[in-house]
Amino acid sequence: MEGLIDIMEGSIRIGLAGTNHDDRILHQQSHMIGKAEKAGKILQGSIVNTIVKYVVAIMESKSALEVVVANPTAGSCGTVAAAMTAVAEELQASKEDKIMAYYATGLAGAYFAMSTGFSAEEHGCQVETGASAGMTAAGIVDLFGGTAEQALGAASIAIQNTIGLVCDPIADRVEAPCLGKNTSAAVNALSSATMASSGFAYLIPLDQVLETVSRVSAQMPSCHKCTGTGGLAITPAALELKKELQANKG
Amino acid sequence: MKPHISIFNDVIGPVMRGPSSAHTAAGWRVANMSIQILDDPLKSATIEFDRDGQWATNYEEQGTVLGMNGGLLDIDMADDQMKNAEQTAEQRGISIHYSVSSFENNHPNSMLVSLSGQSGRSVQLLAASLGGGSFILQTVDGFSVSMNGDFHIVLLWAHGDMLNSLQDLIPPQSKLIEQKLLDKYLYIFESAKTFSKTFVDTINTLPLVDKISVVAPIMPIVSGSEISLGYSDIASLLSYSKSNQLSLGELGLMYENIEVVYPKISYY
Repeated sequence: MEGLIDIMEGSIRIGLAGTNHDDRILHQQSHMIGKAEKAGKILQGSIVNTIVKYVVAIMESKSALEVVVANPTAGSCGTVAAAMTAVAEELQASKEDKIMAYYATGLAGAYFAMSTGFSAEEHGCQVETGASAGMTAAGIVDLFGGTAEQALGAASIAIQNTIGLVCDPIADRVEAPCLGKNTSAAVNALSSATMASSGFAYLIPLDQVLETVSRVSAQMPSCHKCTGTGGLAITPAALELKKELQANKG
Repeated sequence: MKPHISIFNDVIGPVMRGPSSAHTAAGWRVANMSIQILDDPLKSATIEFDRDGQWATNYEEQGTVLGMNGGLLDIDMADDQMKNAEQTAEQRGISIHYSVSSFENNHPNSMLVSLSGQSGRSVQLLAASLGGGSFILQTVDGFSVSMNGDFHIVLLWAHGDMLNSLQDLIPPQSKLIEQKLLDKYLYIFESAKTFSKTFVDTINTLPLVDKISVVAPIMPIVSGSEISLGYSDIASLLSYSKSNQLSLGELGLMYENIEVVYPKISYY
């Protein structure tokens, strides 16, 4: 686990150091958060800035074909590592506590793997950034020192917020709206962990939430499950971007 | 659903390059498992995606081609050389062809892989990507199988019934499965441990054997040595955590506390 955490934190560093890769929609943006903060255009010293910056850095590493850890998937690889790193830094958590908290994310994720799996073609983005939000929420509660019930409760709340999430990548690239969804999954995880650790009721146990994910996705048309044939993917702007990328590739 | 879920096999990881774990990483794994099953230096490969499946429209953009090229050429998924797989194939004189066609399958992310080797061996496999880099191999040369890359495997193709003679040779901690297709047989040995050379040599000399392939696990965690846990569903996990004063992280560590034996990488 330690080695995997190193690679994930490495993806943040690589992304922030700057990546250069032509064949992608979104070029480097991760440095813009620090710049905006310095210029007083956004909140000062907010953990949200750090989380967003880290998510973007990981996703930029991925789109530049650098090494990432698919966690739980490559499309949702920004969420867990970004939020866990930002929260662990703020808490000044020990390495041991961080490793243990990643095991909490892993066990929460294992319940997804046992029930729905992580295929957006079957369940839409519910099982990608939805799953990463649930996993992260559990991990953050563990970093907070919360109980197993609070951790799974946080996962339940986070996933309740993402039921029905479609998968509609623009120009068939796993970049957008994936980036924004990873960012919101990470912030969703933090707020869900905050709620659960403060004692909020999660009401629906995680296994029933996961059954709901399956039930809802069974009613979602295939065009909203990662086929590039629905949602944002078929907007005029998306079609224009697709044309541009194809032209650039020659 | 897979019989055993591992945090490192199925949730956190793989360590990879490329846009999508379902396309790139599972594609790599299916391809790499396929060349092991071929067991002959690769000459040509054809990969087909189902016209009515979810991948027909986007297999190139989402990185299936990138992943499968790397897997077929045996370039590690995290290796920088993944980026140049297409040129490497050309240099080695290996032809890799992708197309969309129609074939029988039961999963939206299905791929039909046909390989031929330099000394004349060939094999055809049907596989599906399950998301997050997990996959299932569903048929080998038309024989029904169920492999997730988390066991040591020996495949034995035979032109007659060998069950009785093979049953006496099953190594400890191993399982033998027989599949029949018309008058042909496929025997699958699956184990948590490496098969000994003596075992492989012994079965190779038996009458009725057409060919044998030895396949190493492709996943970080090899199945078959799981410990039994004090809980199964969420309710029992929560009461177990309460009575033993365990956090979710501690439960996760217990859950995954099995030997890691993947030979190529040491991230775990």
